[in-house]
Amino acid sequence: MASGDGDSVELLQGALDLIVLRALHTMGPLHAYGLAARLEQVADDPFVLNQGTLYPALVRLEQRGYIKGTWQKTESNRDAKFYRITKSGIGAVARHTQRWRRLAGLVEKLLLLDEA
Amino acid sequence: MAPLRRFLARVFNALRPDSAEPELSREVDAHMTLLQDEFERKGLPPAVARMAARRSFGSVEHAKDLHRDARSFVWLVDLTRDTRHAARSLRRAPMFAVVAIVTLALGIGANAAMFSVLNTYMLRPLPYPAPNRLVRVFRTSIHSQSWPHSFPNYVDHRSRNTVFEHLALYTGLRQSLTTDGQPAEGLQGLQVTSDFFPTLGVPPELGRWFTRAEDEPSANKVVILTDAFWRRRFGGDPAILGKTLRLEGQNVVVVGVMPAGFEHQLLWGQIDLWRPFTIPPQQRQNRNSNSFQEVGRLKVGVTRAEAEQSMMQLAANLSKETKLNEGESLRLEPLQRSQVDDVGRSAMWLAFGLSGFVLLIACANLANLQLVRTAAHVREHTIRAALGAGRFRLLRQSLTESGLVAVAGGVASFVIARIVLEFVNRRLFVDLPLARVTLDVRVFAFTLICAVLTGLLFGAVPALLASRADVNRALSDRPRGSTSSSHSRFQHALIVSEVAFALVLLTGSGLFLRGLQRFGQRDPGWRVDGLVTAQLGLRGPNYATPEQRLAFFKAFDERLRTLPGVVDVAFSSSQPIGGFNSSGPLVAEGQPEPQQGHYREVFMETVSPRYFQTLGIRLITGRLFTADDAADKPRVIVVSERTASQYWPNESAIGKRMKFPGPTSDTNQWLQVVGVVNDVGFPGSLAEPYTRLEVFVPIAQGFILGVNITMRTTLSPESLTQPLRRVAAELIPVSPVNRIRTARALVDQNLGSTELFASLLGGFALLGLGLAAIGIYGVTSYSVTQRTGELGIRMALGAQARDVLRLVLQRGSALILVGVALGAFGTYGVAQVLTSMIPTLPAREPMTPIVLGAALTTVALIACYLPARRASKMDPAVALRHE
Repeated sequence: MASGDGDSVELLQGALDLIVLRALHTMGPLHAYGLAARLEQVADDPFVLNQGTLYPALVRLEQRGYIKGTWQKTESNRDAKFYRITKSGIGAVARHTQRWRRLAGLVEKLLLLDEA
Repeated sequence: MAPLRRFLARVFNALRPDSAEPELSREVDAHMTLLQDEFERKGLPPAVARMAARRSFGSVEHAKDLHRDARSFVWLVDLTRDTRHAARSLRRAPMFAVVAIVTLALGIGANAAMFSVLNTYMLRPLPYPAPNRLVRVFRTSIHSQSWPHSFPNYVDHRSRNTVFEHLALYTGLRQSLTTDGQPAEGLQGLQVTSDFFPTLGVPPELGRWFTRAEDEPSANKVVILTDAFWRRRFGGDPAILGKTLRLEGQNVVVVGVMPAGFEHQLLWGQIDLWRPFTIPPQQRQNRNSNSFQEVGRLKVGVTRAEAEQSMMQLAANLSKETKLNEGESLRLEPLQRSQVDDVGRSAMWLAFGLSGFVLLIACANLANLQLVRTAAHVREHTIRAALGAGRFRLLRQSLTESGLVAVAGGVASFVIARIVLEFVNRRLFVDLPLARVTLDVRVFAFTLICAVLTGLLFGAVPALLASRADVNRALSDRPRGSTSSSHSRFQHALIVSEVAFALVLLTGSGLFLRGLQRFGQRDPGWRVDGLVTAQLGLRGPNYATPEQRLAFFKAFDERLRTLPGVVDVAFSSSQPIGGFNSSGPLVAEGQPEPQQGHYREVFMETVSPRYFQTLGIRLITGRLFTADDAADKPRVIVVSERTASQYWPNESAIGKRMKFPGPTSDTNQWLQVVGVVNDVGFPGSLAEPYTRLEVFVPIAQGFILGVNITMRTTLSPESLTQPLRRVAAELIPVSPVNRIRTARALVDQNLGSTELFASLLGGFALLGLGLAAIGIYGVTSYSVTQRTGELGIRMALGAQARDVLRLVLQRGSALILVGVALGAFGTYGVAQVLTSMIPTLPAREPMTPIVLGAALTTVALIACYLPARRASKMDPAVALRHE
């Protein structure tokens, strides 16, 4: 079936999905631009996200039922599609965080071994 | 849930690829506006802010592409788009679509029908739990691989084997059911040991199985009914258990009803009931009385090969202990194989294999049609290629179109398959009302695979040819464009293969049909026509002694002779239709006895004195039986010509004596030859050698349990039924006369399935011939059309109509001859296969292939001639202007 959760081949994609989910979980509903701004703010490096690359992550998450988008007005009275995390999305955050940690730990261990 | 949810969303989006686009655009626009707002807030002028926003966002189109990839399946989007395109282009060419789909439906339908037959007999699992553990056990010797068993041997097999969970013994049984005030009703069934039902493993619908105690002759007054018989005869009475039926004049209690379908007629024949094993006590002890079948269920984890090894060892040990059955062994065979004999199996495989050629011819036709179409589209293709469409993309589009046609043809083929199966079912299962060849999931899968493969086969080559077309040349060329050499090579190959395939198909089925015909024309040594036969069970206390039985035969014979229209009457233990019932070893006096297990196998037949005259068997030397050959007189036999020449090659057989092997002191065991008659063949059986060693025993000195009545008469079986039953009922009320048929009908019925497959094949062959003719006509027409300009120039330069005709025909006939030559190899192969599969079929003869080859060549030449003549009648002026 489609790109499975935690599929190692699609690690980066999984990472982006997790980051988006966590951001929505902790900060409440955000639109795509808001998400992009938030990510740029969090990143220490001047790692510049091509904001367009957020869209596949959003559609993936929405199709899985983890987030839901609705059109609302921004503070500046512009139309924007706000994404809100759903109940099953909240469950997914915990699961995916755990999985990510395990994976990251493993990679870290391997890297240390190689260096030693 | 989440992955499934996403999968469905993607499929939905793929099927409606544009539905999410406006929403996406709106979202991207909004995003851009917010970004621009931000840059403006930082002090940039609006125009610069917009530029900055674009830069920051990245490529909008790229983002949208990523979104599309993520939200749907791109390949599915392409597939639906290609399918729509193909459907549109087929709608624009309805003639092509109809011809292609009908051709394919015929080709696939023929194959699907034959596959269904094969599937029903050989692939579909039996309707019992774990059917692959069910096997039959046969005794083997140099004479046969499928001998039955004796009761004591079975008991030893059952108690001493280590490989069977259950092992059962069974044999056919006829029973007469009498109800007060009604004529006796003939029923068919099996007598089975109590292991029979546990072996098959299906619990009863009502009541119970037989118990071990009911294996004893004293305790076997019980019966289990089939569901069909229970419903037909007792209206499905739920209170049937415990009721008493009068079978063979005895009261028998119904203890069970098996569920519908358990009696699986394809395997067991038409049966109404099961009885416990009821055989006379002496037969229970007799290791020489081999007439029962074994069926067993292997233990879990035991393979058939292991079990066979183990049983062979057991057989060896047994024959060492009993000094019997030496030189023999045991063989295990999956129960499923018993659904059809070797000849039937061969006939099915042959018909199935040859039906594949119908499909190949259909494919060749379609390839040509497709070639014509793609050639016509070459301009469209090349323009699209020039505009940047990838070659792969164009190829895929052509294949999608073939695939669509193939799938439509596959669906339509079910109609054809249903029609063929209707025909098969009506002819094949005259005696088995519950058996049918049906379509199932396997057939659907087979048809689908056929459709996809044919689609690839007839679609790929033309598509490849079209995709290879040189863009520059094709665009500058005139519209008909692609008279490239690869095209015409391909067309040549099509004609050659159509002819070759058609020849193999025609000669294969021709040899088969002709072989059957020649088999039917053989003189069996008796006159099949003008005989009506019937059967009668002679059991019960009134017929226990030889005197009683003889008295019955005498009285019955006298009464039957008085029936108007009856010329002669005979009784015998079996009929020379598919083989005699009993056979055994015989040795001649004064000749060394062969080693155990290497005796000649002699068929023994007990017959009444008028048997030979009634059947029309000729006396060669000596005398036939008379009423004087009585029980208290010296024992005599009449032997067949072949028996005489095998045992006494250079001397007269008359006066010679024979006996069963083994030491003997009793002179009464010697059988003296008093006559030699011509060999008697079995015109209803292709399974075994036509002529065997045969010995006839007079009725007063033999023993007949199931009586075969044979009457030479001018009457039909129908008009004889009533008088025959009336005469029988006066003499023997409990035992009805049944199976009243003409001998010819029995022969036909025995050969029925083989003949059916042969005639199906004949139908397929005609279909293949027709398709090939259409195909050759189509290819030639197309190539003539392509050459119209060239032919016009030739004619303008002075070529006559005759020259044009010759030009076209020359090439056509050369290709046809190549096809015939290739097909001849195939024909040789098919003839080899046919004779090795059914050795008794007289199929080796040169005339049939020669005649059919000539016929095919003629048809093919006509198919070439018609377009050639049209070309020769063209007006050169028109031809030159031809675009």
